[in-house]
Amino acid sequence: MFNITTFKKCFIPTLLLFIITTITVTAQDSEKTLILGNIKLDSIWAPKIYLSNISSFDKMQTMSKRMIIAETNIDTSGNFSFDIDFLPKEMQLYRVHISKKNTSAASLIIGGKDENHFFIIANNKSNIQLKNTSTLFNDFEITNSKPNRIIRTIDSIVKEIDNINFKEFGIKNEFITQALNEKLRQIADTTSYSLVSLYALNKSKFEVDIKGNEQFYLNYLDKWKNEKSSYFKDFKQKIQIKQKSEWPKLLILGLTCFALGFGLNHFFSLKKNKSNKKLKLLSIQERKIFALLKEGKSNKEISDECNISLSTAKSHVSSIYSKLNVNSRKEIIDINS
Amino acid sequence: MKTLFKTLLLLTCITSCNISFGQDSASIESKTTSRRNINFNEKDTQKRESILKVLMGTDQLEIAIRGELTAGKLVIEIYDSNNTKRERFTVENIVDTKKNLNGHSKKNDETVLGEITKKFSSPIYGEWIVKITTTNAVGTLGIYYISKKLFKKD
Repeated sequence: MFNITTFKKCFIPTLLLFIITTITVTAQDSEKTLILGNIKLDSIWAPKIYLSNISSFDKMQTMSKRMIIAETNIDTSGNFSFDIDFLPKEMQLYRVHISKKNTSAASLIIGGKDENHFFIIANNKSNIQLKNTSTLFNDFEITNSKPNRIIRTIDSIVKEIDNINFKEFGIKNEFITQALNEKLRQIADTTSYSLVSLYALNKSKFEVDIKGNEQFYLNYLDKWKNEKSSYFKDFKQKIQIKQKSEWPKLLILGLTCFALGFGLNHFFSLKKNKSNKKLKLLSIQERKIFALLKEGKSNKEISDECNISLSTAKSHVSSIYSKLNVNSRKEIIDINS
Repeated sequence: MKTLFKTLLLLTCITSCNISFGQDSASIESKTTSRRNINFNEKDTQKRESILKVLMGTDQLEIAIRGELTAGKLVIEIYDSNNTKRERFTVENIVDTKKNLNGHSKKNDETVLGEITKKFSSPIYGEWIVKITTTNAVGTLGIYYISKKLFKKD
């Protein structure tokens, strides 16, 4: 009947089957593209959670029904899960948000204890899991997506800046805010995830920083020059606006250089014309002797070359000196003809 | 009777001490609040400004804005007295113009809601401006200002 051998024969294959099934299920779960997590809600909130697409960093503080791309129920234990295999393959920015009962799904609450959203980046291969120990989204962590863990770090720095803006005063406030913005730029500079990098830079209020830190932004653009996403296009446009504003300065500099060059050219050509006018006063023989003088010839060499006596040569040279108003051979050599 | 009286006296003393030591001796608060409500009735398209005069020595300024739209677009921008933009916030409700199976336009009953609460410490004194830009907007907007001044207790 039922003996130990039969039991062993049945038990071992069953156990093997169980192990294989467990492994497969676990592997499927980790391969699934989804956002899952838990949220503690009190009675004022509707048990639904929404996913909105944020097509530009400028729209992070914008709410519109058109932005909502998915919704799912939150169960009585606070668990929720989005299947996100329909998302595009490119990483994009999304907002996960909830709304109060009897209000629109398209509700955005920024600041205060009822802040109803957080941001993630995802694509059709993402698997994002939230571990939430607080009410709403005040304090949660993302356990298995490195880029989104960095996004959480960035958000916590921004929260710190907001708190400092409220708690600290004057110079201390400015000093700490600057240091924290620098920390955000450091993250932007060092992370290998392009969209995370841009997220950090957008949160660092880069518009204010560009003027004094131009090289950083030029290097940054160079580093991500192959990025073609709309987020980077927007950013490049914003940086270009700043670069365009340099144009008037460059134009003025160019015009000044042109005017200076033109002036110098005019000055030298006037000088040259003056010399040419004087040369026209010389006779044909004197011009010939003038040419020999410019070559550095002596009176003796001039008399030999022109077949004239030494005294005639001397007389021509003296006439040339007086017509050109010069006192030495060196001055003759310096004349531009 | 004597014992009861002594006990009551002792309890009163302890309670009084607790009240005077337990109170926040650091500061007394002076609070000023103001609010403005605007209704956008018929496809409102215009630019408005709401000005808040922040007095010198104000320690904290809180601005809370709530906009609810059934149609159109609303853009809110907060500028400090140096004309620096401190916040921007948009609420948009685009009515679907596609017609349903009966050939009628789809009705858009749902509103879009946007709320923002911003707190500023030691705000620059002068005129802070909330710029409100509407495009075909139908809905309501409420702006609440709370400015606080803290006095140190001697």
